[in-house]
Amino acid sequence: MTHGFNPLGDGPVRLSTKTRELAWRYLSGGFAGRLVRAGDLMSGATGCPGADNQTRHAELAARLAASAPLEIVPEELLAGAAPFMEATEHLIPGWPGMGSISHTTVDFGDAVAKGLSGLEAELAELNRRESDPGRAGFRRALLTAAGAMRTWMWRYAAAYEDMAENCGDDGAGREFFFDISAVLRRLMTAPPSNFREALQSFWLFFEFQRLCGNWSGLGRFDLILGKYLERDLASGAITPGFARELVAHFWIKGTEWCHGLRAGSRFAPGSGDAQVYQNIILGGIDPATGLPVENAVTFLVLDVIEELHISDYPVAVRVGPGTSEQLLRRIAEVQLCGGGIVSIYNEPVVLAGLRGLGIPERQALSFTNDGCWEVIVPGRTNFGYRPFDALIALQRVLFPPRGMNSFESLYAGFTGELAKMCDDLRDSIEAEFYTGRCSHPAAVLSLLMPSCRESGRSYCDFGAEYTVRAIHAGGLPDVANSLLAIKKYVFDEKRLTLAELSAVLENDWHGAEALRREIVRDLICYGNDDDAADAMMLRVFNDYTAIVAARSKVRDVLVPCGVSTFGREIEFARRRKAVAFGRFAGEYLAPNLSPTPGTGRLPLTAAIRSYCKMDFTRTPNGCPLDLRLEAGIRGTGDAAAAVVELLRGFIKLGGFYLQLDTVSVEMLREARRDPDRFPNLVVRISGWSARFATLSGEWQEMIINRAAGESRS
Amino acid sequence: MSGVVFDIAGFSLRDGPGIRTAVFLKGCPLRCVWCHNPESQNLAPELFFEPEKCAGCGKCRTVDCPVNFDRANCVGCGRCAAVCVYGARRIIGRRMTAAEVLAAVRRDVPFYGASGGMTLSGGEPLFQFDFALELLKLAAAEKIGTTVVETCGELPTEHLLAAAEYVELFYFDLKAADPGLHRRLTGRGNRTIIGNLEALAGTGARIKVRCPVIPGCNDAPAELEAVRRIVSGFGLGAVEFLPSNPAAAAKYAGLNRSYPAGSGRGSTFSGAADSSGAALTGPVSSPKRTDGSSGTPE
Ligand code: SF4
Ligand code: SF4
Ligand code: SF4
Ligand code: SF4
Repeated sequence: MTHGFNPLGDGPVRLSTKTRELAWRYLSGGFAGRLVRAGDLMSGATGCPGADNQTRHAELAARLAASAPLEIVPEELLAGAAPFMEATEHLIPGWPGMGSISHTTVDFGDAVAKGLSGLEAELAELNRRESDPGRAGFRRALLTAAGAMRTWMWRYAAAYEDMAENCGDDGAGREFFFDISAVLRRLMTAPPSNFREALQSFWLFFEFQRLCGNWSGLGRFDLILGKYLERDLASGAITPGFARELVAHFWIKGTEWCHGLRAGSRFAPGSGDAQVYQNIILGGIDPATGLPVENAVTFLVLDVIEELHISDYPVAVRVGPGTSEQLLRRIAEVQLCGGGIVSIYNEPVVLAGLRGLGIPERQALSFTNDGCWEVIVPGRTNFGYRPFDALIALQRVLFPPRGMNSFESLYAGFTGELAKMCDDLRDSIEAEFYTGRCSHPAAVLSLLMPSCRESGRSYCDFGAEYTVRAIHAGGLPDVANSLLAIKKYVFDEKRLTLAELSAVLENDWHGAEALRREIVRDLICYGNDDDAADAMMLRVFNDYTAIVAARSKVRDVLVPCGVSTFGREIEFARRRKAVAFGRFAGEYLAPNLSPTPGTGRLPLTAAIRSYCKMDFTRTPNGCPLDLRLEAGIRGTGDAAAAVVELLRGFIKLGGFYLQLDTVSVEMLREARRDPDRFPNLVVRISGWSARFATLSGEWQEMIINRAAGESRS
Repeated sequence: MSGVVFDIAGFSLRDGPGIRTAVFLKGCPLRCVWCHNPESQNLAPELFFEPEKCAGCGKCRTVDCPVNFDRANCVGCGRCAAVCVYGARRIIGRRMTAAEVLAAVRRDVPFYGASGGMTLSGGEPLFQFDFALELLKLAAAEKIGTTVVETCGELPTEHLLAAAEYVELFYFDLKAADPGLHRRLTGRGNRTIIGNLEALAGTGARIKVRCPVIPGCNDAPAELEAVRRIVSGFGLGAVEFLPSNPAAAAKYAGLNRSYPAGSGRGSTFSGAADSSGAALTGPVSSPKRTDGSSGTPE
């Protein structure tokens, strides 16, 4: 049987029927039923009640590892599963009510290269030289966590051996299961020696932290695994076809938590069942060599995404001067498949931003993200961000209007409010870290963080070399558009006073429909490559970024600047009154630094040009542009070549991060009416993609509104 | 130098290779019965009215209309459109200088790469010959991507050949081989067009010949074969036969014109289009319905 994976139309078939069948079963929820609850493993636990949280956490990990149901699907090439329901809810399984950790990427490259035994040896060595009992104790907890992982691997190895022995006369089956168990046994004592072992090792480390409830991003997949595969391909130890099957299994197993139940759960209300911050980075400069990474793994990943349309690992490619034509072309082809699964960073701009923050070159070169798109140094960063709606700062000076007699005084009032909001956020950051030491259980993630092992401190307690709480403004384009309208109609043309406008907006344009229509018809907003409009955007952007940069540290916490909304347009909308550029109260406005939907008069190249007028080294934590291509362009001439030029233009003009999706608005509308017909319809949200059917109605509406408001090509 | 432009469409992937900016110039010597862009046919800017957008606010009636709202004699001054904030009344066509057009085209230079650039379309882009030639020369002088022209071929041969010096690729329409059929479909015979195609082919220009195929109009196998023969006789490659449908009637209604292709898809066209395109009255559009001068929603 052949399955269609992509509702916009499938591409070439390269994978085996077996693997495609497996993907189909996962994606149609065939494995959802096997998620179980760990319940309470803390009360009555044998561990010492006086022990610190990291020790208790490591001991809990040992209990989870010893008791987790083993999930063995006979046709799978990779072993290991994370079947606890609590983990999918952002909780630590077995520790009732205890939240787990997300929004970071540990150093899987380091873990794979050293192997579990290498990590243990390193911890033992560090403790031999340790004089501080607290740090030594912490490392012992990490050793316990490592031991837990070994237990878990051992249980799998034994189970696969049992499977092999139960194969009877089926020689091929025996060999298949023995192979897997042999890989597991080797990885218990040594680092991987080939691609298959390296991939299995990566999967085990990733999966073990998921087993314990954490949501780390994966990081630089092709940099970590490429050397193993290139070596095996050169020696003929593996075929490209089999390597692709292995990578496909990594992608398929990554959908294991998608049970469709998360819509409405308290952690990700409605934002889709795949928002678990497990981003993968491809391409970019290798800090060890200074050369661009592009290898067989890079291309196999894109093959798999193209064929199976799996969006659970959002992929971001670091595009720089060294990126090949061939890779750009593959990115474009996959982007045209829809789902917005592959996005791009402009590497030189990201690097310049990190240098500006004082990050040493080699660490800057290693950058990944927190699982969405916020830029971090992997394995060394405790990350979080503080979002706020910048439009509220403007509302504070408009309702009631503060005796403003010039545009400049209004503007100064706005930036004053903006600065206050940022100060409040800094206070909350200070309160988070300096009202006492954070003892949040983080032993498992700390094990995979080189800087936690080195420092002997936990992830949450400044064990990470960088503790980062970024400030993220949303709504900046809406602020700029509002200011443009106020300047033009109140101060330049004097069509009404600020007090009158304020009253009109307070009344949601009631009684002023003709004026509202006129503004919508005539006001050229940000995003149309209009010099005046974009100058206002630039002014707002520069003032906001300067306010954040003025104090980029709260004691030891780094506070870099970013711009985001993710899906927060929904939550922002509830507090928003009508805006001066002609929109009603409560409308879903601009995502990230993208133009406000419905304000575009020109096609998306104009939006790129407008956006690129900002200097994104001022937003080192990130500032995305979201764009959508109408699915109809898939049929025109060489659409991929055109998308390549679009990407190149974005890079040339100095953009930061581009999330390009290909959507059929019509299909989205149909899917809103009848979700069951489009189970695998995937849309980019921001930093992650979601299966449309698993979004709540509110989110579906926002996505349609965004896409319909933007499709102007 | 200036000309009348009815649209500039950026990020166009359908008007030639790569990412293109298509500049649509107003004015066309033909009146094809299926024409999808009737607003491109007349050279002068003209009023377009969409009754479904009209809110009946009456604002348009307050302006000083030079023809006292007699739509048939509307001179396209745009006064009524300027006050219509609902967008029901718009003026199609804007006088722009060549420098203004080039400035719009230049904006997408970062995206043109090796293959993209400016496409002149219409209407018939070479109908405003001096203006079009100026645009082509400026784009060539600045090396703005590659330049494409979409022509219907009905124009003085010397114009076509002069333009060809600055054009990378022509899309050349040949709508029918039979002169009588061609006249019935477009209002003119095809002698000039075929002659121009031959002359242009003789210069070695890159040409892609296209033939819109309208069911019931020009889709007889013998007719298509004849088109193919003419084109291959000039040593040109395969003809691209584009399946087309008669245009939507609404655009004609918006221009206060009757719809030449009858009442719908697949209808057999048998009448003749005169140069005003108004010989046939389709049942969809009565002149009354398109008249917004009453100032009430209709
Ligand atoms: S952790 Fe300390 S208090 Fe607890 S059992 Fe061990 S030695 Fe005793
Ligand atoms: S009456 Fe209709 S056409 Fe006239 S200005 Fe009002 S909305 Fe526009
Ligand atoms: S109808 Fe409008 S566009 Fe036409 S002449 Fe009168 S005011 Fe001018
Ligand atoms: S040549 Fe083109 S623009 Fe002119 S009437 Fe025919 S279809 Fe319309």
